[in-house]
Amino acid sequence: MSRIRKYRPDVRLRSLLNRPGGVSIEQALSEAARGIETLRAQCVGAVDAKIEEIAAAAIDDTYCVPAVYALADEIFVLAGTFGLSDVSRAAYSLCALLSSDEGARKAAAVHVHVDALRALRNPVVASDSLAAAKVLDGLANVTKRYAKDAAPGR
Amino acid sequence: MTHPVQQKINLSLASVLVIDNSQHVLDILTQVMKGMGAQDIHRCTTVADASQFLAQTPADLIVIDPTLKDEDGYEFIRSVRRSSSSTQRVAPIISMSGYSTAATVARARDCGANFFVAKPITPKVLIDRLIFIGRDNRQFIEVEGGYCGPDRRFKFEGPPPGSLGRRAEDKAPVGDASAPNMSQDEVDFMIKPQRVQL
Repeated sequence: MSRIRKYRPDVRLRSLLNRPGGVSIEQALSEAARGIETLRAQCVGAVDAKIEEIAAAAIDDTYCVPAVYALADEIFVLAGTFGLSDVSRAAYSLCALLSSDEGARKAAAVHVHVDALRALRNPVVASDSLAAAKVLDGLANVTKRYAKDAAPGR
Repeated sequence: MTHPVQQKINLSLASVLVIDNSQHVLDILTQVMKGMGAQDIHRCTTVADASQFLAQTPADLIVIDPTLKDEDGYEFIRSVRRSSSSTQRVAPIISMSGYSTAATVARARDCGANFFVAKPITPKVLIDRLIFIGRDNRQFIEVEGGYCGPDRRFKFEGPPPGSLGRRAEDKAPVGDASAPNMSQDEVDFMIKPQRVQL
């Protein structure tokens, strides 16, 4: 039988967090938001660069899935952090596609996502909510077709 | 989670280790931690760097995306939980991932992470988790050859919906005594198995 030890540990962080001083929650939130905002230009630039990296990487069905997945995941995170929610959703759809056994090897489906991501970064499409919704609906159909076992989108 | 007015958070003396493949994500996390007053922030893009860092310097808080490219971040969490340093072993670990499924969350929990946070990163969510850590009084569980980490049961949720629960009848009043108290011999006879000569 396995031996089990249960105890209530002294967690150093707990005592540090509760020390006198520090910053108010409001102040922490506004400082963090201000700090993140200083990164906007470089992170949004990175989103565009990573879309093109995916386009270059997925040349045929033998592309490196983990590498493309990492790029899609980063686009999802960066776009989501900086309020590019449609771009983030499209990248999430690509992650779902790449997470499925059937969809992961379909370079054509990856390129549909690349085109959608490029379109959603276009100011004309980005400012037209109907057009953006159509692009995302199209992606949902692609992902549904190939990635039956993928998790539901957000 | 709503925060009481005037509630404060103090990370000024904490050593924070953030691990993610992406420099951009590390930049964002650094800004969130700085906002909370952290000054001692260590950034690593690989498990190897993080392990090397922890071998020399303890961290009070670890924030990691375990779905690292070419590396097993989950194994890193397990190794921290089996650390020979008792302080390091119990340090809070926040696991975060972009594309998250139920399996991703369960895997992080079963490796010993305190919390799972879905990216994109929002300062509010991270601050909420840290405040929770400040109040969290869960037991730490160490199973020989098995799970090591905080108790995975967060709360007592009561019996399943629609049922009274197995112990519901225990709460019924037992009523007045209907006979004199039993003697100690009678009690012993009922509960002590004894060797007898037949």
